[in-house]
Amino acid sequence: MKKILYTLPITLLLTGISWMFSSCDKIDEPYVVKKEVVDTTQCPVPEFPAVTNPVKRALLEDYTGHSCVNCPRAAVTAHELMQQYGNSLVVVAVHAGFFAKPANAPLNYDFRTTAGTDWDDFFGIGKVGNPNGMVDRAGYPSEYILSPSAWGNAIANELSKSPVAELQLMTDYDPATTKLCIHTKTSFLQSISNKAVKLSVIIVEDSIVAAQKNNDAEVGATPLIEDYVHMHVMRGAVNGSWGDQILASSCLSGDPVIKSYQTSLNGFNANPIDAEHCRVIAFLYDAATYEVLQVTEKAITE
Amino acid sequence: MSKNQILRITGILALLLLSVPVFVSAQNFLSGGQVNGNFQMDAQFYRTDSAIQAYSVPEKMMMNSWTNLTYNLGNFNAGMRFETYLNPVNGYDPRYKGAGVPYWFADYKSDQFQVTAGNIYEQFGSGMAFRTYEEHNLGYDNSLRGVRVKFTPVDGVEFKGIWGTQRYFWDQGAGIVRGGDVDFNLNRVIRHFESSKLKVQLGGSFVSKYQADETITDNDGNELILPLNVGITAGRVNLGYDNFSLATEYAYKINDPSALNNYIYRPGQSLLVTATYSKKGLGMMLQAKRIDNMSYKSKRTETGNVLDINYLPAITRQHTYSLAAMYPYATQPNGEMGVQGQVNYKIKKGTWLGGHYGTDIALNFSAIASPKYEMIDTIAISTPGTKGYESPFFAIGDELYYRDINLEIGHKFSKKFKGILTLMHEDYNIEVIEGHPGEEMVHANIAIADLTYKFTDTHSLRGEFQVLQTKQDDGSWLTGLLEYTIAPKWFFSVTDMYNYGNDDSDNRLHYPLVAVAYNNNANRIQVSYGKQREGIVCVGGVCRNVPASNGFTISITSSF
Repeated sequence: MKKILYTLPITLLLTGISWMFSSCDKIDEPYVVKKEVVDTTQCPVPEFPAVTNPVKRALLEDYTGHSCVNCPRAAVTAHELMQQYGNSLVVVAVHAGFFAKPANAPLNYDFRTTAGTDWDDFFGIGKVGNPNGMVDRAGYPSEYILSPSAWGNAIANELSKSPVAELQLMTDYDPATTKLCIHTKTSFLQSISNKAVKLSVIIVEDSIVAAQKNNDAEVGATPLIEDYVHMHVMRGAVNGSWGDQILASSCLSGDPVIKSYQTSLNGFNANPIDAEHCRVIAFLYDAATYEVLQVTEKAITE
Repeated sequence: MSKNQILRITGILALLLLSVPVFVSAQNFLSGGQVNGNFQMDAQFYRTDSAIQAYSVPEKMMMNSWTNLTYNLGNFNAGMRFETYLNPVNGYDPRYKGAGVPYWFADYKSDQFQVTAGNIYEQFGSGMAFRTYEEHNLGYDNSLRGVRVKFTPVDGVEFKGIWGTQRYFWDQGAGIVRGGDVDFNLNRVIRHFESSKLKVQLGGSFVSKYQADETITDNDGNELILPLNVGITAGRVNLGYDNFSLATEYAYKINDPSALNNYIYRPGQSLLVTATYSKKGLGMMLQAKRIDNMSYKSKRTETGNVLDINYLPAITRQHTYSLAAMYPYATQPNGEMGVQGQVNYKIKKGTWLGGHYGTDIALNFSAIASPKYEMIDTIAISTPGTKGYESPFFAIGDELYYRDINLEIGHKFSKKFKGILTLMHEDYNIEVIEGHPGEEMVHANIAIADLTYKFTDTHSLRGEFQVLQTKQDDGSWLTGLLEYTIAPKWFFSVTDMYNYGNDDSDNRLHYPLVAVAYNNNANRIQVSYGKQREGIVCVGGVCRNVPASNGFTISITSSF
């Protein structure tokens, strides 16, 4: 009887261990998937100007939707903040979630993008409600979803920080082929340790005229503005929803990282895009906290 | 009577009827049970003192508090902890901000089984494969929320299994942790072995973490192929014979690219060996360890003091005197080779050196250095997306991380007067331990006299006189402390730390602090006022930085 008692646990143990060993994923070399390299003969890397007087800029993500009646008022708030802060503030309107779903005409335009929906799913903003936004995604994962009345304070707070890096952006657009070359240069201004940094590059478009629900008579017709002018509409991400890692862990101050991308505006979004109204936005963020460290934007056809 | 009113009254009656049996059973349930608890609150009022770089906060005051409640009835236990950080005291991670119940559990134990649901603190072996624990004075809590089962088929054999996710401030971490452990106490399992002088205990653990795939790239933008399941295996042997004991544990972790190891794919290994000998008046201990790439967290991109699945024991002495603890060592999970030795000896009373009451002597030595790192081909060490490096198991690297030799002599001169003298030398690699690149290794000599004079059974005065001499970092320090205790209720103390050796004469500052405490049974309230230097507080090899402060602190503790 006692033998059975000993055998039982040992059998259990061996079964358990062999089963558990199967819950290990041993990876053999190569440990990486080699990335498709941008053909720099097609997209030659230009000479970046020297970095002088770097300042911190802030990114305001306004999560919105054309069926959201309070969103036009929020867009006005964003516009006023842009006027107040000028080039220091970069705004993107992310159409995602319930209120962005295409509905019956005239609300049948689909503003949504894969990256915008990924962000909204991850940060849960649509679940909280629209309009809401994030300023530099600061405060994640606790207090990061901000109502429009809190944007101003958060922007002032972000702009008072000293920049971790300067981010320069240059573009080269060929209207004949719609080929767009995007080059970014990140110059770290402080030495960094134990922090992974990612770079996201997206395209936004201004002046898209389409219907928008509204309940604020000061902003426009209620309950619907048929010819609402949508500004800074996110059109998609150039390098995936979460961008590329440009720093795995540590670097010294002054280390530059240059990244180049090639894309085509033709087919970039399910809707046609007008290059004249498009801007490229690039931002760096802390891969662990998602906090945006620096942001910059540039018109495509400047 | 309206329809709504009828519905409301029916509802209330139904609730009352339903609650009768609940109430009765709750009374039975509570009548035999026992409730215990404790409470701690630390509140700090901040003033700006730019000389010591202490700053006021917009809230003026900040507060942390913890309330533990446990309920016990026979084999059933349940408990919870309510935590408040409004806002977190400086030096605590601001992500703790808030109040709530991050910890609760229910546990039932029968003859062979014990099951726990909720938040779990558990340790396998020395913890190198798995340890969850809480140290709220450090702001550390990696509890596992899930289930635990313990199974004891026969006396001397114990299986443990755990499954859950870990605390991440007010949330749960991204990874799922599963694991099992078995422990055989051969002296209890094998009948004829029971009375043997040789004591043998064997154990083994396996823990695996799962985290969904994500996009992480190396420095060239190539996407890493990430292991979603990462396992760690550990085996241990504990032997005892007469006054000797030998405890050994070895752990092996498969490829686990993470932000902390710079995304390398080298497997991790660690070995800890502890030998002790003790007899009356003499104790000896010798420890050695190797750690190589053993950081193991349930989130790849995490670099902070959170979500650790395993615990790498520190083998340096944990000092308590303020200047001795000024440069504390923290285990380097990416790699270290260490040894520690300690001898405790009591010189017998009645001898010339032992005097009337005997003299206690403790000599302790520890040294920690880097492992030896060798490049693979021409790839720089720890390049992301590579195997990282080679490292011969027993080879010691060139870089010294920490060395400490200290001697402590305790002597009771008379019934009323006793003292402890501590002499210490330490070498502290501030560049590696605190991550301050380019700073010079700190070499410090420290002497401390701790004297206590008992006027009466209830009145006593204790004084500490400490000196730390170094040419590096902030230079030399002096500390004086006087503590007057009127047992069991009152306690008064005055401390001053003086940075007399600072290279910059403007920074030769005093840090005075006065404190009063009142005790009443299991309650204590302490109020202190003064300046505290910026420093590092460590418990069990886990450290946190505490910024300088100037102001009031109120601490209340209570238990029942």
